[in-house]
Amino acid sequence: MSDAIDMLSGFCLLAGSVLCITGGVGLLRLPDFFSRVHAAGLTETLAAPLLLTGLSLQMEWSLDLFKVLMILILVLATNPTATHAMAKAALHGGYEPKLGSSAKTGSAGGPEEQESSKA
Amino acid sequence: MSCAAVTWNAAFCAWGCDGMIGAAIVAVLVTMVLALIRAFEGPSAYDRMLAANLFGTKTVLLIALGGHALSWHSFLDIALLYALVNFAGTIAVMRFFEYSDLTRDQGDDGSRS
Repeated sequence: MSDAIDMLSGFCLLAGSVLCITGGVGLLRLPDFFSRVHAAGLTETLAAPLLLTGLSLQMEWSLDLFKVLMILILVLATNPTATHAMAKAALHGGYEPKLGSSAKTGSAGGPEEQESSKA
Repeated sequence: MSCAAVTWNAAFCAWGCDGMIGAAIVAVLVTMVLALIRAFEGPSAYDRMLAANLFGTKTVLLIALGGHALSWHSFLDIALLYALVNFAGTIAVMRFFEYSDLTRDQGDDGSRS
């Protein structure tokens, strides 16, 4: 039983670590602000609960376990909200998502868009 | 446990913590470095704020994992407080920036000129 819990905890910690690094690389490599929000927000929302679940599986029943669960619930509730607020603030602040070539040919591209796609 | 996990445990037992928790701490530190690079070179203020938010969340995870690994159990209170402050700070700065004109970037990052 204890071995099973250890392996489950190790799996949760490993998956959380992989998601963490994936989010960091996506934040660094993606070309647009909105795609960066996408990468950071999605991986963050799963990575933090996975890491905290793996941590809480290794603890005994105490007040500390309750605190870890409180952190988990708090991160799970506040992180998508903060990401959504950031994307909305950027959209209101004048940023637009960078569109791909197929979406550009689908829209009626004005001269400004064609210039920006050339440059 | 398999052989690789045993050697991984032995590699991190010298550092004083369990194997997978040590690996998770290393991954969180790597992610913090990546977020710092984005925060330094981000073309707009929103990119910097996004990197700061991710850095703050990773700090919460680092405090929780490190506090458990080093048996400093009172650090969980600090992690809980840091999660609250991180969320409130992000929302406050975003409300401040939302209709501001100071956040234009210098590059071609999809902004209206």
